[in-house]
Amino acid sequence: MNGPGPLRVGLVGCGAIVQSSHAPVLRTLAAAGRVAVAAVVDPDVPRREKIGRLFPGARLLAGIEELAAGEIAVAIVASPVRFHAEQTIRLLENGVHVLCEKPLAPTLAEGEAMAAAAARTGRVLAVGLFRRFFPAWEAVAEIIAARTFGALRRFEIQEGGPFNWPAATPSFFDARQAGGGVLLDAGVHVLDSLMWWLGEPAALRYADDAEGGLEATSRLELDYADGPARIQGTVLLSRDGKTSNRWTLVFERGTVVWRAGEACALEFRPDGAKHWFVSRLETDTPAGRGPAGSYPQAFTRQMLDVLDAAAQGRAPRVSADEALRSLRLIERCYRERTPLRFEAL
Amino acid sequence: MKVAILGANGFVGGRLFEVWRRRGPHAPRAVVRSPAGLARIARFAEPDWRLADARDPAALAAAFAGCAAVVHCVVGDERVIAATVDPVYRAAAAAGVRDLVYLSSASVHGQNPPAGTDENSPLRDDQPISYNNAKVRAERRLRALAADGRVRATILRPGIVLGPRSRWGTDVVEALLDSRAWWIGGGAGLCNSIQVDNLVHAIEQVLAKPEAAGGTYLVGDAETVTWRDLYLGLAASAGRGAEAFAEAIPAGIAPRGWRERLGALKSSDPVQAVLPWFSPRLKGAVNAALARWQAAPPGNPWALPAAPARPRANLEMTLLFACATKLPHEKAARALAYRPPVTFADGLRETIAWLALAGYPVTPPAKD
Repeated sequence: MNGPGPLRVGLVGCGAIVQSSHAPVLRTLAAAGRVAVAAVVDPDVPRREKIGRLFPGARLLAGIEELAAGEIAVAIVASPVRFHAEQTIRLLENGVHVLCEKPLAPTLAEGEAMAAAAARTGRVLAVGLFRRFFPAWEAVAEIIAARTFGALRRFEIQEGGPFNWPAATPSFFDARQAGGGVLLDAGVHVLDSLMWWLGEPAALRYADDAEGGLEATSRLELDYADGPARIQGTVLLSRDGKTSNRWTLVFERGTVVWRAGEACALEFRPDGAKHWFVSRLETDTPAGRGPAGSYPQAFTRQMLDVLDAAAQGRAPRVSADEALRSLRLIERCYRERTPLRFEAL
Repeated sequence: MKVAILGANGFVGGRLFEVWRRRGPHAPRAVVRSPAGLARIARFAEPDWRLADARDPAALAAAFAGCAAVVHCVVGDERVIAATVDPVYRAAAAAGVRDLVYLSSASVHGQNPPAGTDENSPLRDDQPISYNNAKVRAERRLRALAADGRVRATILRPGIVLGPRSRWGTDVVEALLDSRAWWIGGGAGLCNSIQVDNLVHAIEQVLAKPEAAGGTYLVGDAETVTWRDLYLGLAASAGRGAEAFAEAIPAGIAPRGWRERLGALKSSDPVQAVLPWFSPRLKGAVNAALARWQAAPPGNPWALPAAPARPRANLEMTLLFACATKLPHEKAARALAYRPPVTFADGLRETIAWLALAGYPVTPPAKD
């Protein structure tokens, strides 16, 4: 390649998301000569050794303070969320570009401090809202903006199910470490998409089932102004019970359904049509038409975006400022929360 | 008192934790196998929890330390049922726990028990349903272990546990919404139901009556109800009625094909007993080969459009729908002062309210 050689990358945190997604992406990029993983950081020895075995040249470290100056150019921060701000700010101040896992921070104040650090240092701070790289989400954004089926009128989003993420530690469920429950952890994706597609809601009502701890079920009612018309929607998030895992968007002239997790597929039915169209998204390329992407490819595209942003000195697709929009909405939900109890129905 | 709830991430264990955190009388400690089991527990402020595999006596003993009682609510298949009795009892004894409440099942008497069945009825471990046999053997093993007198072991035998999050509610409503709901005999068979909060009450009574602890008790709802009562109640919440249920073919009536017979053979007790002798790799290869062999043949592309096939019930559901015996809970009433506080109607209403909250398009009936 023509560049100055592979970018030196550090992995900070060796939990499930690194194992399942970031490590395979980095191995692919390393094989292609784009990156070299120089450091693997986690205070848990077996965890960092397990990930370290995938990157034979990497130094295995207990904490980021052991990193030498200039040792890495880019870091993926995938530690428990309560460490995000401290680690990210320190890395940025040491001249390191950062891809920080979602949620950016447990509080808006910490997120804002991280964004300010990125602005101050001129380094890239990207946020791991990887669904922004789903072709299906890009297609929905286009359908809404272009009014392909007319204006969006209402939507119903259900996402989640009994928690089965192979969490390496109980940090997800420790209120002091997690900062929030299902709304912050999974809901940040949903609210990020709505911010991207629809902007700020005019009004919202929020309820969850927390009883002094972290919510396992959240229900959100949203209302958007669309000129003189309204767009009304509901969001149900759960890490407790089964949901339909279906996003239904009802437009003036048709309905679009996205099944949660399907990176490259959409279903739609124009009004009056008898049948549903179930589509796999494809893209025209110079070599012909091919699949527009996949779930793993979203992580790959995310990392490539970070590398390109760092090389070109441009903002990444999901900057800290972008991520702060959904974080701000989440804080508003928590501030205005009402209890959700079936006994009250 | 401090009570460890083993399997607190499950339907019954989760409800027990929730109820005790809200109103007492006990301080619950959730014991779950992995961090993922903490989602529901973490809704409460500073929940008391431990991680322990129910087959690991050392981890269990550490998790039970400081607890006066343990409630064993672990849900699992036959192997899990068999593998968790010894470790739990021994860990409870090692930790100085006074009471162990074991949630067995009324199905130790079979899904369609004969009239007059009660706690004294002899149990068989050669029933056609492997789950029943596993529970019978687990009860026997627990009784043998408890003969040393180190821990008082009380066995509860609930029937069909209903209530918020019960699969008996969600499965039926999902089938209704997908237009694939069915019953047998119009649902006229008896459903030996127990609302989950009545089971919570039974557990509390065991812990409140030390003189009655150590016994075995059938527990159920006060009312005698049919499957029809349950199914029509759920159907009404989705604006449907009896027409929504197809009449299924009971197991054992329609001749079974070789594919089904092979499946039944695979899950039979003798085959399950010898499986651990073989390597996982060999079992994987055999299973993959059998799956290919058992797969239904591709449909005839030229076939005429057909009406949906009549649903076929498995043996367990066939026996449940044939049930003609309301199991008694007089012994629990007498010894434990068990007085089920939740009526069937109220329990059904709560189930539907929870389903509505969980996003199902159902409407709970109005409160009286």
